[in-house]
Amino acid sequence: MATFIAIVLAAVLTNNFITVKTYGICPFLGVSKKSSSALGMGVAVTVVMVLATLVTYPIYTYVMVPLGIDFLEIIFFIFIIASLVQMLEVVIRKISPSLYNAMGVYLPLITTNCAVLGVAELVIGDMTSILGEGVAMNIGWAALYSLFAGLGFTLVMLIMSGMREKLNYYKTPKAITGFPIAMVTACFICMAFTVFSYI
Amino acid sequence: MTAKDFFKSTAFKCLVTLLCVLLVSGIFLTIMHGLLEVTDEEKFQRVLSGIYGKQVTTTEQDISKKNTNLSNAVINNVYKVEDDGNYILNVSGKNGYGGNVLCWVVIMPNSDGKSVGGVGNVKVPIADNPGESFLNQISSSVFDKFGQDFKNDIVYEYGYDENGSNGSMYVNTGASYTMRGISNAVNGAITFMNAFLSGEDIKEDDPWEDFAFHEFINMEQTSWTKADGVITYTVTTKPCAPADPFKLEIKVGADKTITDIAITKNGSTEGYETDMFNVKSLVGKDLAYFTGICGDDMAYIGDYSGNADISTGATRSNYLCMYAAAFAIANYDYISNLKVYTEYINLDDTTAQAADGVVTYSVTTKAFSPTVSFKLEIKVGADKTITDIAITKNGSTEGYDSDMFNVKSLVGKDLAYFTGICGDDMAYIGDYSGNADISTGATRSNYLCMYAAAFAIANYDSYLAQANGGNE
Amino acid sequence: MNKYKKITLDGLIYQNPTFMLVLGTCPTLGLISSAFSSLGMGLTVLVILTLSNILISLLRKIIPNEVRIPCYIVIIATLVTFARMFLEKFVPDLYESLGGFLALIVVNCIILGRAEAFANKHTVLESTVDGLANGLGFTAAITVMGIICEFFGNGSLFGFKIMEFKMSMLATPAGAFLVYGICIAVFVYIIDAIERAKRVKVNKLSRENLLKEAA
Repeated sequence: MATFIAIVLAAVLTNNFITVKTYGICPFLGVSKKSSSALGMGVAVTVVMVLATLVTYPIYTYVMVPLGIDFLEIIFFIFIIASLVQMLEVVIRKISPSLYNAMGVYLPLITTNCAVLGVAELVIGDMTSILGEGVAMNIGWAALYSLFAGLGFTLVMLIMSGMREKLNYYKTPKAITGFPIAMVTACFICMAFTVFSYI
Repeated sequence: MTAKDFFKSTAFKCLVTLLCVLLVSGIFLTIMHGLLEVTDEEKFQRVLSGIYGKQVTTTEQDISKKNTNLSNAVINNVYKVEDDGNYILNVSGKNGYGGNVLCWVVIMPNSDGKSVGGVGNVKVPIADNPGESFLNQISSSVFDKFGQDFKNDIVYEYGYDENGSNGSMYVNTGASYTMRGISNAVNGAITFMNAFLSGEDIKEDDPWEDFAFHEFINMEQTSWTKADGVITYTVTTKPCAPADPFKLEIKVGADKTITDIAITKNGSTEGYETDMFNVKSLVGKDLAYFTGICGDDMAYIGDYSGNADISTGATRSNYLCMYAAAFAIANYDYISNLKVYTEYINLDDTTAQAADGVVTYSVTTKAFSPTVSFKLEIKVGADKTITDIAITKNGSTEGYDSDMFNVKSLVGKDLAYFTGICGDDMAYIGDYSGNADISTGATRSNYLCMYAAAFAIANYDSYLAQANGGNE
Repeated sequence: MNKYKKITLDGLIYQNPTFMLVLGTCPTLGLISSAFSSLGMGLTVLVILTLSNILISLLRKIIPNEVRIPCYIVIIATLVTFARMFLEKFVPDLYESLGGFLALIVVNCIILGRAEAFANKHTVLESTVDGLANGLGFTAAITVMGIICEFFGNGSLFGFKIMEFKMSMLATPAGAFLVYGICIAVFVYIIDAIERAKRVKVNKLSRENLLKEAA
């Protein structure tokens, strides 16, 4: 139970992918103008992250390391992620065209999302600082971590889009409209999140 | 479509291209991996170089035949730096805050190469010492002091000395116990390397040297209690390969013979327990019996074929039991006179006089930082209770003396009262918040007074006997 | 204008991947607190980008259109893996400081973006120049930001302590965003000003010409 809480807190708050580890920034800046698109992107990213971890972690641990080809991880991982995204797009288009219209357009972008590859790389590395002593990493914890990392990502996306929507009502000097003011907003969000590092 | 069409279609071309690219990549990377791989050995050399401060190559020294378990530290590995002849040691210093403290110590030999000439970098990796939560309180300048203050055979001190003043080297780090562990590690490294470089054995002070026949006894796991002239021992022996250690309960009476003996853990090699003699046959035997079989030094001579009592087919097991019995008898007098609860008492500065069954003590305790030593006058009566007690020198940290309890409240208390608060070993447990008698805001001061009182009661018999037995 | 000059200026300034196009932001923000890491990351990306552009341009006629993205990704991933092996062996300090971001170069939008937008349509030489220009633009941008963040956030420069005063906030992600935002604003403003000045000059010239012709 303690490990469960530790992972949740770490993934969502103290090691938040956007505000602490600065991983999923491209969609963060690009898609966060409207809340609806932010939510869609966040959910899509979470789904892909969990699926990716569920596939890459076992393959790395049980196939690649024993065979000694773990140096090929980058190629394997990105391949798996790209294929997963492709398959997911096809599946969603078949199952629910409305869902596809809502969020399917983001799916190809997710392939190049640092967060997905980032979480896959993270869980195969050294997680003892988050898991604590004596707890071994296994696919359950890995999936859990990626799930909450994705949720943390979505959370920050929503916060950001909310603030940006509000910003649209204010006139800002030309030089700082667009990206710069978004950056400053993000800066404040990050500062708020540093509160959690004291846990 | 026909097979020929398939081979010409784009799908096939795509597949082939993709496979080719993958194949080329795979081969390229495998070749590169073979060429550029950083082996674990290399990674370890990098770690050592990081500790040493510059890139070096090292070779591990064989210390398997040496005594690496010292009283203050355990030597794990010794690496010789090929470039300049210095040594990097991996040492676990004992008695840190959370157990052993894993340290890396650089030792520089003297120009003659036969003894230690200096201490270099001392590094304590946080990652390897999860129990040392105050490690980051120690600034790097403290670690530098090890090298700067090195003198031959130095024993690095830590913490406060008797007077509470800055008499020793590394006070006020904010991590006293961790500092103790690290100092132990460095001291141990120096002791070990002195022996290693000179080729001699380590000469360590034997803390048990006052005990007879203790070479085959695990003194740390052996204890005893005294009652009415009978000493009851719980003995753990060392192994006598292939036999494992034995645990026995042995009672020795005032006539210095075994009044009872029983094996609580049989260390015989599997299958040999039934070959052992009947250990009860040792009841009633005195020391002469045992030295008669094994010699005055009770050494293991291997061939006991002449003696049916010991040579029953499980010779080593029998030997260990006999050795334990000899140990019990031989130390009867010494232990009878041994004082209990002495850890916080300055015995050299403590006196006791006996008159009419009342023992009057003038006790000086040791310091217990930040409190310094207390002096008390304690009277213990024949009923083993405190009949009077007064503080003659208050060692409380300034401002805390008024927070102490009223020491007169201890009058009339017996030993059970004190062990009830602090446990049978009267150890300082730190958190006495459950006990209002001691936890008044000046806990350490109260503890020292209670400790002194327990000491006085527990050794009443001993001092009385000493006084009645004439001057020593 | 000489096309190589155009490519270079585009990559370095007018289409600077970090400040103008805001691509490849993950390693930018992640490593910004250390000038050494920023410089190292920039140079690594420079090398990988150039090599990837060269390779993809070489293969552009061979790789069918349908599988181009997977092929590009495999090529880039191979280069990144090679870079990781190389750095671990020969420059372990940089390898340690880059951490997880080294592996993430494979999803760096800049590299894939240039491959998709430029390298598969232009000759090898042009692609090389483009790769170098964009890489240099990226490196310059993040190194400048890295220097600012490290200097004001930690009082040091490339690891050497220079001053005692520091605003620790700048060493955190919050500060990273702030500095990045300010730099974008400043950069865009300067470029706009240059463009405006050029336009004014061109307008002035054309007006003078008109007047001359009219006269």
